[in-house]
Amino acid sequence: MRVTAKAVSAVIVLIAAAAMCSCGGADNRTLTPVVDLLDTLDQAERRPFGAPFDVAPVTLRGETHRALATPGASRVTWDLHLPDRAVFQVLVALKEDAWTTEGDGVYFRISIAEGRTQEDLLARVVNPYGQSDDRRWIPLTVDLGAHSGFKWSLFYHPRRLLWRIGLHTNAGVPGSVDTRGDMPLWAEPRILR
Amino acid sequence: MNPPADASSGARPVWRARAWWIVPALCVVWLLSAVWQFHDPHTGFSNLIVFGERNKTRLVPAIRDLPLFFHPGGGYDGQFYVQIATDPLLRDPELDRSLDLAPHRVRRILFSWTAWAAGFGKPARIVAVYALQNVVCWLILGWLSFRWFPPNSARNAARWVATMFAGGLLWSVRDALLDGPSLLLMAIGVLALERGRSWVSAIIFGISGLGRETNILAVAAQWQFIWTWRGIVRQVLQIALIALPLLIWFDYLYSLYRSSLFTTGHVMAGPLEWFLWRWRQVLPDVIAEGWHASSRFSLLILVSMSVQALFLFARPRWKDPWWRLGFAYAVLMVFFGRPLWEADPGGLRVVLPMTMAFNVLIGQVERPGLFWPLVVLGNLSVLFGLHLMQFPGTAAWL
Repeated sequence: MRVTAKAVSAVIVLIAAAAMCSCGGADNRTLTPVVDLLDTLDQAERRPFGAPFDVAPVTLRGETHRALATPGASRVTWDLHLPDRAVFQVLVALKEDAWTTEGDGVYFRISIAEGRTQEDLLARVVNPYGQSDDRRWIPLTVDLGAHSGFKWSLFYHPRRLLWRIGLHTNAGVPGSVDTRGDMPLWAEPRILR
Repeated sequence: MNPPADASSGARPVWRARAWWIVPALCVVWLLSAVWQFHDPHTGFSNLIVFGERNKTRLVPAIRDLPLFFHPGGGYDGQFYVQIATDPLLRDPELDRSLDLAPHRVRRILFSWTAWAAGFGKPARIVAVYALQNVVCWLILGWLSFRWFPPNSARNAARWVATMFAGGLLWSVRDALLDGPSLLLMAIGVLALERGRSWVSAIIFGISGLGRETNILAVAAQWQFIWTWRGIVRQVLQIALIALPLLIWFDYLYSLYRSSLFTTGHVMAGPLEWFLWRWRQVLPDVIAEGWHASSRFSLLILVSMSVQALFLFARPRWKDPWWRLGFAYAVLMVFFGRPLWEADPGGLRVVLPMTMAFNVLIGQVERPGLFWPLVVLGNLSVLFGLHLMQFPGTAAWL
């Protein structure tokens, strides 16, 4: 009886430990960059085709980051395998010239896709003309834990999948044709673990 | 074989009892003749699947060029399940474009698999098999039901007819849906339970869960209230066995659809909220228009379902697997949301196990003054079924 109780306890502890290992997001962890997406921009799919997608250091309010400048309506997608417990980080902003140009801002959206699924991970309107608080680099962080690492599943193995990370920009208001001041920047998009 | 001479006085009741077999025999002929109306030499029985003109261009390539019967409008659910049957492991993402709500439809895979297997994977045969598998299931269920309704009396014959011509069951036959075949599996599972084969019933209920998610309510029938340690462990394992096939299938689907798999369509709501809403809609219409009201069949369905549920709530029989099954569906019915109550309530099909449980259990009511009104009121949805199937001879008065 005592042996059985010990065995049951051991199994419970093991299951709890395994669950703790397989769960948990970006909290209370020291994150290490694994992939700098700007380094592989030439392999990424960029739309509109032929439009300028320039990478250069950009300084806003004294803070300098290597950033990708895209057209107002754009999409950049990378195909990649994700490390375990992956986290995506990026900084978004509009160029300084846009801060005083009247307009409705830019809608930034981060997506992840694989096979038949596409999911929006995060979206935010940045409108430095209308919102003075948007006149800076805005950090965005997305926990990709659900899309990476080991899962208790017979069929869902995120480690083996080729994920498609997408960075999208559009007019600040859905359906808007106001493109004034639409000068989006994506700075240091990175996958960390 | 010949009766002894002194048994001649008892021969008359035996003959009369056997005469009741004519009822199911005629019903089978009537049903088959009704089904035959939907056959066309060019399009076969595809009329039963209810392909919609509006979805014609969205059909999967495998069946797009087959001779199919198209109904005006958007069609009905069977058109989606038959297309899933052409790709039973859902390998081609293009399949999703042909479905109205892919993550919702693909959860109910079982009868797409059976159509694929019986059709040997050939699209034309799959369509033919899918259209008719409800009819086959109806015939098997009719035969199986003799266990609970042996046709040897007016009471039993009435209950057999009420069960086999239940509005929800005929709706499933007419539109090649999943509810009829699901009921067959439920009945086989309960039969296994009644014979003491609880592991067999767990396997059958588990398989039925792949037919539609609500079939998992069969756990209520499986739980036999055995309170010994061994009994509890066995029942828990059996319930796990019931859940296992659906869990594995959901795991597979999650690998394809991820979080969108759990799209619900708001089919559930607060207790009785939409049930009472439907009553409030239907009653004034019927009072004003009488039998010609557009919602007359909705009224019959509401009366049927209400009587069945009230009967099950009022007469608990915890030891009886049919009661446990019916009770679980009656509770489910209380939480149905708007989509299951609007128009002619689709909830009627979902609660088919409750209908069969009601008809089985009503046999325990001895008083004719109570039995016959209950049979009639609890099965008014039969008229809706006859109307749907356009049974020969019913068009003039329905």
